[in-house]
Amino acid sequence: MNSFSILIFRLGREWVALPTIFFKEVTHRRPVHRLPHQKGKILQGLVNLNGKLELSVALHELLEIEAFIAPSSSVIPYQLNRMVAIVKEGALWVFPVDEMNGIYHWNLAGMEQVPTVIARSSMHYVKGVIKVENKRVVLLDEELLFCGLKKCLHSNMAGGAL
Amino acid sequence: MLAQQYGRGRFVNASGETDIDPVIFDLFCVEIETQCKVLNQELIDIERQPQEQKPLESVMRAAHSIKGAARVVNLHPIVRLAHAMEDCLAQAQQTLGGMGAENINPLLRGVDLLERLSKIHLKEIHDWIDEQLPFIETVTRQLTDASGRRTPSMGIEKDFIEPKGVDVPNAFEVPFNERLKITESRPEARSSFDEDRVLRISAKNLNRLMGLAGESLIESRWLDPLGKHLQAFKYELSATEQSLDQLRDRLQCDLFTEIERHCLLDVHDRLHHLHLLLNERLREVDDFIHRHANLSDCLYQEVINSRMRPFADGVEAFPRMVRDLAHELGKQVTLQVEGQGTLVDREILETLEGSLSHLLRNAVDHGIEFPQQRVTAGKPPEGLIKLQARHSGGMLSITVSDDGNGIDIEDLRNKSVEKNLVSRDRAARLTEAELMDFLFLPGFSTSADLTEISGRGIGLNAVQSTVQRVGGIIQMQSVATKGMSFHLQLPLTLSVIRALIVEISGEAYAFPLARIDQAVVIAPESIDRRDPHRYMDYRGENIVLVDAWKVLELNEPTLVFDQLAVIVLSDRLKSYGLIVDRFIGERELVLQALDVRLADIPDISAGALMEDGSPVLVIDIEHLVHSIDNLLSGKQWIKGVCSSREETTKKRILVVDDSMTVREWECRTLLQAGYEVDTALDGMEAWNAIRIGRYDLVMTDIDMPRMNGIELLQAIKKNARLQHLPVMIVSYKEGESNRIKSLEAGANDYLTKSSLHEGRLVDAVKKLISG
Repeated sequence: MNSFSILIFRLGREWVALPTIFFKEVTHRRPVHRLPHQKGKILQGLVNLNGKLELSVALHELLEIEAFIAPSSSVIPYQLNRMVAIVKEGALWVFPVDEMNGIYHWNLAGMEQVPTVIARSSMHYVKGVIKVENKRVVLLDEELLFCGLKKCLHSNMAGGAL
Repeated sequence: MLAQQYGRGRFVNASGETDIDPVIFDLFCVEIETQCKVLNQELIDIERQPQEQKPLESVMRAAHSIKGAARVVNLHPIVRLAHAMEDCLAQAQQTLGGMGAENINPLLRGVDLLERLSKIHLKEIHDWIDEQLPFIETVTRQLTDASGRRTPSMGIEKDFIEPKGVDVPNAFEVPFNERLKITESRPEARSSFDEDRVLRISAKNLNRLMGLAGESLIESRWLDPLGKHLQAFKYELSATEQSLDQLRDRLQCDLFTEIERHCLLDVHDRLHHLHLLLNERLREVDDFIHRHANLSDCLYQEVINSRMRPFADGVEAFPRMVRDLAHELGKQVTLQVEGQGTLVDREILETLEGSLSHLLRNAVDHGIEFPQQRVTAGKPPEGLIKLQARHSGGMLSITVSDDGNGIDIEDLRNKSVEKNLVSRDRAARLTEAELMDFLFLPGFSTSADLTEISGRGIGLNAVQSTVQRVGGIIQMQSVATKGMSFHLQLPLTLSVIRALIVEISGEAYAFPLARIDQAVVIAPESIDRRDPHRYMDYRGENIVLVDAWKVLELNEPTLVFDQLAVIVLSDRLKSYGLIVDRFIGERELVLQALDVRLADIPDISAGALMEDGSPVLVIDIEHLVHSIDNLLSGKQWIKGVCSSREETTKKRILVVDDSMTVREWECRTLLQAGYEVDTALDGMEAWNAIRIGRYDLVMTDIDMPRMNGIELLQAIKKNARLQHLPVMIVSYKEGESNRIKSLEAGANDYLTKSSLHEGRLVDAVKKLISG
């Protein structure tokens, strides 16, 4: 009952997970076209996903994860520098990830709570911390994540108007 | 009895009420709409050529289909109406040539009624029928009278009870649980529509198809390099074979032992085999690449073409309209439509319908003379209006012409002087075309004395702006006493534009070719620098130069070119030179609307994909010119945003209420008091917002869907990080118990809406968050 499927990926130095059902596609990175009159960091611009222009966002900016280029390692190249599309209630978002790890089944019982006093506001999006193959992985709260993305876009738009 | 039971039995719902299945009802509406088009078209033909049997047959079929369809959805008055129409037609068929205005008019009235019916929503259908019943019955009676037959009473007629079996259109014969297959069984019903029948498809679906077809085309191009790589591999293999041969020749054969020779031969054979295999695969891959590229191309073209409809589809209503209007005015007019098969973009067709109808009405009303006048002028009594559509030079050209009175150009000349539009001297020098342009001016014709000319002018301004909006032009010509014509030049489609692709701040932007004056490359020396602006010479005029990246508020480009690429843009009053990084070239782009969540991005009208699949943004030139104006006068879009410094000092309040009025009132009051305000529609949305945002106070209602105010309050006070966030309850609930319940749950204040006014609200907020 309490087991569910999650997909693990890396942003900067952090391993991040989100329930698999919210993923629509994982594909190679494609160029993002910036939008004029925008100064927000989170909305990157538009990207071509299957012939349709979709919104591309910087998830690492939303989660306040520092960009970091990992030294070349034993990772299979096709797992590196991917582009991911997630969707909830018809709202689709594309974001670049530094590395895809894979799909795991995870039992809720094994989740640690996030320490309550954490300065970084990005931790608001975190449901809990889990351990997968010796990696410390933060599991995102999908409800808050999608809500946060929407809010960012909204404030970006509101700010854009004179 | 069978038919009735069959018809009713299926749609009885739990409460025993007879109801219509929504899917069936949709099909019914489409059916009615389709058949009405047939009726309208053919009835007009019949009126003109009463002896023709073929149109009569098809109207009978249409009326019959409507009757069958109406029976399935149990709309009895409509069944009776259709039945009367059928009777009326049958009568005409029997008494050869018995079709006159007395038959045609009630038939057309019936068609009108059915057309309106097809636009009624399912929920309102019964009310509508009830409301229209007297009218429906009148039309039915007129039809019955026209057919000269004694017809069944308004009760249930014989035909209605008797099952006619196979006669009912197939679509509605399909058992309920198989209704999804209905579309497949439809063709049998009306063979004349099969190939060209119109299917409804949502714009969204069509756009998705376009996107995917485009992607497939782009992906097919990736195969080409793969083929080339394999080719290179093959050459490499050949070279290896040759090297081996050389090696064998060099080594002296007699030095080889048997085993060595065998090995060498073996390597040679294997290489050769590999070569053959590779050749084979290569041929297959080549074939595949060609086929795939071809298919992708066809698919793409076909999908783009599916946006196109024959011109006839958009003009079906016109012959009827012209006929009705002519009758009303006591004139004789025929509308001749040419180029019915010309393909036109659905959107253009829909946008233009109003304008074309306007031009046609003008032609009937003001162009075509009364029969006697025409005869006196030596013309046939019946006027002719021609509506022509054709493709020419990559554009759609539509002409509306009449053989009426035309416009007296000298009249027009006087008129323009009278209206103080030009001086008499100048008016005398104006050419005919220039004078004609006056007719497009708003209000040119709204003078008290309604003359032939003034009638023409009404609404021409609106027609012109519609045509311009879709990127076309309109011109007119008149020959006094001989008639006049309007020529519309339009793009073939709205979804594909030709554009100049440029780079701004390192990224691709598209400027619609139709809207730019010129694109020039100039040497930096030719710029005239006079503070605060830079100027260039354009057709003897000094125009201001601006950097595109500044207008669009992008980063300064990193690459600097020797020459300046300048696009000249203008609105009615001014011209500007827009400096871009460089020109990339001219392309045909398939437009796609930007994501709705983006609201309006200033200066951008749409997006598109380049041939390599990379995005390009299409510039909204009208808006851009406006932005240039703003830039030159020091206003910018982003400047309006609060700086981060301000953000940190201002207190942020989250207002939660499911009533928009209350939310807006609280929001405005707090904004005026100098707070920053965010809103949420219910407790759940608020709870999400609080967990990810930073707020100094939450102001919430109690009764709300999903999560109420008390639950929200409890959630906040239970959360370790948020428990110190002040929460103020603002509720309609007056009772003391609510106040106590809220305060017990940890509310920091409790206000009732009934006693609320601005001062009190702000005071209460100040008390909770000092500052």
